[in-house]
Amino acid sequence: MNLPATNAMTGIEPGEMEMRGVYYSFGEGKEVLDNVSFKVEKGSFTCFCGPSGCGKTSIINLLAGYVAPDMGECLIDGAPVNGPGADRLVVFQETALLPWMTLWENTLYGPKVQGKDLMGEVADRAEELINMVGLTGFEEKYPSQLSGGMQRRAELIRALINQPKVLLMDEPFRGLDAMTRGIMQEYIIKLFEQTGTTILFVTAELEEAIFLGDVAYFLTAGPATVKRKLEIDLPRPRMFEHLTTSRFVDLQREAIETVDEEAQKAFSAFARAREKRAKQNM
Amino acid sequence: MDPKESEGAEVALETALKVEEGKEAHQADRARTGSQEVDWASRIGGYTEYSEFQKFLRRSVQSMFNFSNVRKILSLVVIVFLWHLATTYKIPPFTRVPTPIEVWRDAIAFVPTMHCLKCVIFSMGRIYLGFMVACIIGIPLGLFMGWNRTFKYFTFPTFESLRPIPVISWIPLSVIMFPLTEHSIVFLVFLGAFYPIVLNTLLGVESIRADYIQGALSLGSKPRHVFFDIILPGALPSIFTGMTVGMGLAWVMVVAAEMVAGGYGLGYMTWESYILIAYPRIILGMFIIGACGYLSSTVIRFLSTKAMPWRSLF
Repeated sequence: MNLPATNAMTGIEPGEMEMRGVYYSFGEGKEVLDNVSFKVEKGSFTCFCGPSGCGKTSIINLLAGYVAPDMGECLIDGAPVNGPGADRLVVFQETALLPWMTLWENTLYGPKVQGKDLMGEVADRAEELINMVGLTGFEEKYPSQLSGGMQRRAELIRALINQPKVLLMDEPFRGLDAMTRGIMQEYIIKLFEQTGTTILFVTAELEEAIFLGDVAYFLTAGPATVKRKLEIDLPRPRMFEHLTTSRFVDLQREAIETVDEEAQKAFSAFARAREKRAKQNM
Repeated sequence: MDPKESEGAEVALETALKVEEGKEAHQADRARTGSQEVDWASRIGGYTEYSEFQKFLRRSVQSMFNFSNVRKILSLVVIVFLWHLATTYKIPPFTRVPTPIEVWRDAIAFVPTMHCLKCVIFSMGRIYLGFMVACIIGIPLGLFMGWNRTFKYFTFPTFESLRPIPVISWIPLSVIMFPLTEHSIVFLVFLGAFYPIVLNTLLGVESIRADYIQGALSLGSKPRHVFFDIILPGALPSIFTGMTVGMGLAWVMVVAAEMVAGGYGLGYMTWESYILIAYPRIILGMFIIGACGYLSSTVIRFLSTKAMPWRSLF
């Protein structure tokens, strides 16, 4: 892929992330990740799909540096990850906008604590980003005055203003209704295609993964490993029309087959456990 | 009146009217005055703030006694009527309790006097001083206790072991500790307000969502940013809850302390009326204390809406 080194407008320089043979467990030896390896290319939109509870959020936490792996390593641009940093920002499942700050103050919070000059270039960039996600005119509103979809968009630009090398998104559209979700998908595609940042996007929805991503990784039911890597060769810019093309439907079928196997496995494991419990109770 | 002053009053009045009309009008007012300074002045000082508070007070009283709703006022009428019956026909234990009419007559005679004003000012002044000190010491203490685990381990056990002692039982000790009555009363008011303020501030800090702090840290926040941008505003709602509860206890303490230690004040006045067998004034004193307490907690609620604009948007 032919990539611009730095985006002219937002000054974002995309980075790459890698996991090499990562094992991770939390609590009393509950294995979450079992030898996970993958590479997220510079400036790509990579989706992670898997049954719920399989450890998708753990991947985000590891890459963000909130937790450390038991074995293996997480790399950003070839350097190991130690602790959180502003080069990899996380967009959480729930909104983490500060309720006591207006949209404008929330957007500029990163630059403010990093001691940057909030006038001039940074303010221009903020205006540009706010405009890009259609929030112009809402700068002086508090988060509680914005709708759910607007809050998620505000969250996106709050991360993007810091010019992260990688944006880690942990099911950011969960809990949004279908229509708002559609609008959000449109915005994230626009943001990705205009800023050229690297995005690592975790979702439970196959359709969303195929519609948004360049690459989709499918994970097995916990403990998770990478089951399959699916290259998505739909053209960019992505549009809703692509959802009805035969290529999209083919990809969707492949994805469903991959995931179905895992769902069956998870389901039968659950059924076995239930039978065992029932026997013990008899 | 000198022309400058009357102009100032006029501007203030105009601004006050516009505040009522809403935010748009307020913005228009800002555009009209054209300077940020005038806008700030009208927001924090002078006549506007006063009248804005008056409106707030009126609204809060109106919401309590909605005179347009007969049912709401009925309970009040019934209580006064029962009081009247019980005292007129001397039903025990109301044999020596004055009737509502006696109390009303006494109110008309006493409330406009200098003596009444003096009592109110003395009690209010003690409340103000003690409560201020409780806020100045209590809020930072609660914030630090919530912020720093080590600091909490050092302070919280002492705090928790002193807290179960009813504050009233501090009265004799504080009279011994402070040579001046005034000081011991202020100290007791301080103690009454101190515990709820510290405890609620601490709870407020501990209830702040962890991902606010986590998010801020990954954006590169220093500890001071976390403190001033997240801990302090995040704890504000609880701080104000603590202040409201603390204000209630401050009134309990000022009345109790004045009854015991003496010197002017509403508590002293009420107790003195008992000694002087001026029974209607006892009930009047109770009513005035209640009204002053209500006024003080309204001030706190008013301040809380000013300090947390993000909480009262709808």
